Amino acid sequence: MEPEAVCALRDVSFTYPGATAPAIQNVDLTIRRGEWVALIGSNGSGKSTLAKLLNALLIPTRGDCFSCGLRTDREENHWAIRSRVSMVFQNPDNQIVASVVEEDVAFGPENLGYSPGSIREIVRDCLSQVGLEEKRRAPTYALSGGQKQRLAIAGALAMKPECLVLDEATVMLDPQGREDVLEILRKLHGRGMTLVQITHRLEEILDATRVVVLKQGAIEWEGDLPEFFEQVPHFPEWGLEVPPLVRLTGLLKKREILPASCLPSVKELLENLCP
Amino acid sequence: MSIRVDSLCHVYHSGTPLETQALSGVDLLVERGEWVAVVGQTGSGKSTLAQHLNALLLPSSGWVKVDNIPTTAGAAELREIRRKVGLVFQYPEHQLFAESVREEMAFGPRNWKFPEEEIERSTWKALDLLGLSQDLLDRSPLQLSGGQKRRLCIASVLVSKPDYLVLDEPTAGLDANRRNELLRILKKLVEEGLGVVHVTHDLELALTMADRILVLEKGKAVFCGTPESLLDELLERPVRGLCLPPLLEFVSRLRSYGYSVPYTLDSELLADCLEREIRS
Amino acid sequence: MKFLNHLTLGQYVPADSPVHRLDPRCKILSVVVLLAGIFLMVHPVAFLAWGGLLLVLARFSRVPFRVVLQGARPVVMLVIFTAGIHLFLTKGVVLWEWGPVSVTREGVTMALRMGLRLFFLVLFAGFLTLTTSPMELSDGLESLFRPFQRFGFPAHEMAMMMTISLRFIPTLFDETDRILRAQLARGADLEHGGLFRRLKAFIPVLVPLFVIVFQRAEDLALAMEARCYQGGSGRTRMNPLEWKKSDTFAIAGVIGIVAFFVLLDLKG
Repeated sequence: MEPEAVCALRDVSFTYPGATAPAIQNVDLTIRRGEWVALIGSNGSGKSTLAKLLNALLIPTRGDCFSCGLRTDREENHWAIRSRVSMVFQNPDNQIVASVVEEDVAFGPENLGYSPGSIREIVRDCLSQVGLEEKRRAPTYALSGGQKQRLAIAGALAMKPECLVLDEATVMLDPQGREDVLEILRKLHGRGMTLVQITHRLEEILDATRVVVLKQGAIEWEGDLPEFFEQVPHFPEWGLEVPPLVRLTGLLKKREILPASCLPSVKELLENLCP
Repeated sequence: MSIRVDSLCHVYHSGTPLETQALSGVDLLVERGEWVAVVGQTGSGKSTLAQHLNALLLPSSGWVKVDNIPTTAGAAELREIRRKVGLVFQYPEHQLFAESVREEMAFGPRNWKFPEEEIERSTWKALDLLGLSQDLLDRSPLQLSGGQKRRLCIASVLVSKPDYLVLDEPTAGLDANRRNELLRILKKLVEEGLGVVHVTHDLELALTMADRILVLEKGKAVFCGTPESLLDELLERPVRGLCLPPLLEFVSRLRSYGYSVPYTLDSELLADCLEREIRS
Repeated sequence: MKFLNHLTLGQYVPADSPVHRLDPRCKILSVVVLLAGIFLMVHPVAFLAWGGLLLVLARFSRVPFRVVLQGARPVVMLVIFTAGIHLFLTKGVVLWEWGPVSVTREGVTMALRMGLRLFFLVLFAGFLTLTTSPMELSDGLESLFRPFQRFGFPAHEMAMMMTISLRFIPTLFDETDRILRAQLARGADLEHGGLFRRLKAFIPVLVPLFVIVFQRAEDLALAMEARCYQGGSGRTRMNPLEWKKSDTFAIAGVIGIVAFFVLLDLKG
């Protein structure tokens, strides 16, 4: 395993017990330190399964999976792996354990056996990273969907991970909630956090450093963002929508109004057109 | 034949410290064979409005009339209104309960005392409309795929032969293919004469699908009209409570830089306009 | 139309007060002592003393007395029912008679005693949950039951179960409300017909609710595993329980007061 790798999958396949077809087939993937990897694909393409393999919630049925240099198939490694590669799930309601915001953030570090003083410090720090310090003592059920998902992120950060895996973490949020979560991800990535972002909304991957497309449990395509947006003709077969701004960017590139490297984001377009 | 909403107000927890005005003075008209989108952010009152349309909530003041019958009429009328106006909640998969698709479909019509042979006929028709095979009839609803469950939920409302269908974020959580398939089906239903009220926070979806759009902000209607007139309105002034999709956000920023480009979701047209502006 | 509303349930009222600051174990034990006292007391008039004590405690806790009283609302019917049974079914000196129904002097005393017992029982227990967060409460119980772990009593698991149940009560209320509305929209009639029909009408609400509960349980288990939860061993707490001098004073005070009341009551 390369020294820079946070997670590495070597020819990994996974079949759910009782299922006939494998959910993941012969996947080779390395996630390097500091990367922001967008993992995209249609429903049932195996994205969520792949995410759970990364932090030993699932163990490959064939092949090897390493996280932070540790094999995920050894049970004695699970604690270390899960604290270093932590996960945020789709439904914020189903991952909050406690009734009070700060008690929920403390859950992870409590499980890891930290001292009360350092737990309090971690909780304060993580809540401020997601902008919820004001809600420290608030009951969790009274939070909005977006706030709940930010709380879930704080809970994951509290284990001081090297890598954060987000499994469709914005699907159930409204536009404002989605933007808040993305803003937090940008900040975290700026501070060196490795991110694996699972989504099927292309508007949300514009900060990714690498895109991996999954189809029927296998890696269909892999490359950086500008390359990815040159693949627009393939999007329908990958089960991806072509958002109008992406289409417009493509057209303007064809007419040589925009350089080929321009990403389909409002910011980049404006920088190129209105210098 | 239409749903008419007139100066509708709704107050939650009236007379307690938690009193909140969810809707204040909303007007709306929904005709059969028309797709009306209700757009607004979380807390704008759009889900409250949806529940008024089939009398799950009753007005604090103002009124809602379905085919000229007010929702406050009486128990018998109220039941008929609930049949006429089908309501599909957000993530409706959670309401599935029966042992088989057949039983799930029969739940509504039995409540409304449809004769058995009519239930059967209506079930076939509704499944067919939603693109679900009759082979599924004896399967458990819980065994279906995510996309199939969503369509079954809509079919289980359509089977009671409503004249209007109110859907709260029907495409939430679906990927591109499933979403487009569902939208295509709904479009077809509208063409066949169903009135559709589509509650969503996705303005892009509303602009591409709806005949008319109602924009709610903090319980007040801030705009009501066709997609074209909403785009024209944006040229004049920003509409409060709207979260612009990226393309329109881009147009709005371009205009602030002095480009005269139109508000449109047509990327070809926009590319032409931009090219002309830049080359001149 | 009236739907479920979890806001009326007696829940934790956060505040910074001497009562809130007490160790949860101290509060739990105090309530146990108080409940024992309430059961030992026989004279209905003596129950006034409990009312006075509650009033003083409420003042100290900065929880409005009105809110404390609301805690008894869910059991008002039960209190009336219990009192009624004793009122009409106790034998003794007849005060009033109408056909087969009679009220006796002993009946009146028993009705007042049992009704008031139940009433204060609920009020004091409710006062505990009003001033103690669910997490503290389960921590307190876990700590009190820890000695029994040696005999195989799952103290930690019980406490964790309690924490999670309390956390999910509001969520499940919302969920039930949503399903109820969805089925009403499909023409379900939950208000008419005999008892059996109405129970049957609730199946379309209960089945999805169970499915959701199991789904949530599965998701939550996974999320807890992802956050390194491996049971109670090796787990630390952000706010470990700390028995202070004030706790000793508080519990000694409670024992003293209860003993005084009970002795006074025994003497007549």
